[in-house]
Amino acid sequence: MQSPQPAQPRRRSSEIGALLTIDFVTHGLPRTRTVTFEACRDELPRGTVSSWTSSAPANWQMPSVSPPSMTDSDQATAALLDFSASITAPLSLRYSRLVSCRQMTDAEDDWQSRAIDVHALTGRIMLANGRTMSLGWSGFGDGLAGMAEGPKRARVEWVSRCAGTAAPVDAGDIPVVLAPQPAAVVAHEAIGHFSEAAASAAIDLRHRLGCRLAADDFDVFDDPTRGAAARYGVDDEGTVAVGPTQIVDGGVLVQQLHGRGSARTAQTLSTANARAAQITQQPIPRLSNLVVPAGTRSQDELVDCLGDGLLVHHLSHGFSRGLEIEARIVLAELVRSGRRTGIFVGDGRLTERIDVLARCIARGDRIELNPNALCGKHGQILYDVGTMAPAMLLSQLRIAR
Amino acid sequence: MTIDRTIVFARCRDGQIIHHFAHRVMANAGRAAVGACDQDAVGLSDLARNEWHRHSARLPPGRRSQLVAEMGHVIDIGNVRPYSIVHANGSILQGLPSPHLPLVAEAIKWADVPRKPLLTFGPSATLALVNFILDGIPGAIDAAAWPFDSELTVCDTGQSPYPPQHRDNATASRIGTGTEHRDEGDDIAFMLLQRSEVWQRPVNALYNMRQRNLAIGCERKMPDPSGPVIVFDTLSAEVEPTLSRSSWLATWYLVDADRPIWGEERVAVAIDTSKILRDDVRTIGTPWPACIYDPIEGECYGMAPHLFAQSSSLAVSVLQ
Repeated sequence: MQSPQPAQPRRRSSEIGALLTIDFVTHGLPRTRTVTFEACRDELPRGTVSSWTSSAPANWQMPSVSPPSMTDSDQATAALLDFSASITAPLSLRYSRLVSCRQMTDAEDDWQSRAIDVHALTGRIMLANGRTMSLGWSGFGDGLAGMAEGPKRARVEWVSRCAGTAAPVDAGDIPVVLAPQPAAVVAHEAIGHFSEAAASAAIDLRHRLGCRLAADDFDVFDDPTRGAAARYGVDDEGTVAVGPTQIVDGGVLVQQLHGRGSARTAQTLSTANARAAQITQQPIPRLSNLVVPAGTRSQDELVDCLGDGLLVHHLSHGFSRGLEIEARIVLAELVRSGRRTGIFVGDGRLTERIDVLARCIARGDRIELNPNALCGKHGQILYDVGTMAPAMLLSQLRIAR
Repeated sequence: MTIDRTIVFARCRDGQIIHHFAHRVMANAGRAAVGACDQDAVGLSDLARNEWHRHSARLPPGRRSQLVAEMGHVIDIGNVRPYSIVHANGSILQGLPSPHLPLVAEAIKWADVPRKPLLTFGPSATLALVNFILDGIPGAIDAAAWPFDSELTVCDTGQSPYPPQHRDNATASRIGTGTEHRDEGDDIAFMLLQRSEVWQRPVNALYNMRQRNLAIGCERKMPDPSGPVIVFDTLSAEVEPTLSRSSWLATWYLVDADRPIWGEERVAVAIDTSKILRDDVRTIGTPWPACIYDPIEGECYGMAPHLFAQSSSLAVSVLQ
């Protein structure tokens, strides 16, 4: 009789890094904190997972790495105060920067490593009408350039000023033009999340393949090598990211995003989309950068084609739930006879099905990266889930109060 | 303030897979480190798995996937404190559970509840509701914006019913008009302990950042109801914090003739957040440990009493 083999580790990972956090509330003083960390995760057969804070054990034979350097906190504080001063409304903000080096291996591969360098600027701006507007910027690097004077900052100031005067939006099924930011939110919720394999590798979602999600001129890609919010050469299971994965072809879902476990279940290969918000958590299939290619018309032409309807300038709090998506309408503008009116509305919700983009009639001629790359799923928040999309003309969008 | 605390636990969410976690937190003023830990939680695995199965047997099948059993030790310098906590979507089943929780898996459908019962919020639902309303207050808290009955007290404290987050000597302050910021040491310690195993994620990155653990109380009490009572034991918000109408998913149980029985299905609850706790708030009994389970933010603990729910400010419907 053969003696039982000792349990062999299936997957190991380690991370060393630092988190800088700065809080600022109008009329208060900035509050700065730094946390340094070093931790490991060891995944064993039969499902036991151990994680602990320490350097990797010597018998792991992991290559040594130097702790990554952190943003100068004085520089980040100055940028945050400068940004705050440019917004005349009261606000509360949190700036976070995470820099780390993550290394991972499994029974099949040598150690792989990837650098993590992300930021988030989150908080709320109090509007003139007493409502609040959430701010969520995030993505690669320190993000300080975006907080300086420029179009990104100017847009936040403009949206918050207009939203403060906006009347409640009327409910109904309304023709709309989505500016690039709201178009990105809708694409992320409707196409992006639907294309992800399940967090549990035991669940097979292949029946989704072939579903129509968008109009027949839509091709959509996921691309961690695009140089957008997410930037990685290997995912958190050590799978090398080669280039873009086409997930929608002619408006139909043709490929799902996988890590190794879900790929095995679906009898396919990993698409290098296994991502863990932090080292103690299980890598699960997540988007990297969702890319919706541009169309041929300018946004002004799309508005001209709209006739009567809404130009949606800004959405927040998007989420998907099964076959439905929702998002909060922060700012929209009435359009009459193809002309913007300068009459702003907000404080509503779009409530739609995931195939809402099948009603897309035309797309704008340039794509923009949504500055908000925060995405929460299955208890994990990533700072760097990018979406690049053009403006879109939709024949109809369901709006609720 | 200086903290040097090691936290070790084994956690089970499905009756099979065990997640061990061991870490050490060192904090001093505005700087902190997650340090090297020489402890492990291997010896707690069977305890966590056994507790999961024991409590699973008292839940209806539809709630078993929400069950979390955690067994651990909190090690401060010279002091080891073992703990165990079991909750289902935030409804605390072990670790000072509130009274009248059902003890067997038997369940009843909402449609079969015999008479129109009194509606109450259990401790975890009360905590979730108060926390949500606080997050929904725009800008500074002033007298005009305060959406609570003056008899309802809400304290921000470093003390917690969840031992890894509890600190005996932490300052507490009542939340309300003119709330002062706490000191840096309290703040950094809270950030690390509140989310002890997720230190890379800022606490409340998506919502407010004003409060730590909440301790909720109210001087206006009502006696234990004599007739049937529905207790919403957990509330999960489906929308971002707001002071207008909000949508929730609730789990519940029925207490009838002192016999508690689980509600079989979740129900949708619409709450007028601006009114529900503004006037005539009445509590039943004393505060109990409570937990909000947020699928993104994780677990957030506090103390809260059972609250009588003003039925004019909420509507309940069965999910299809």
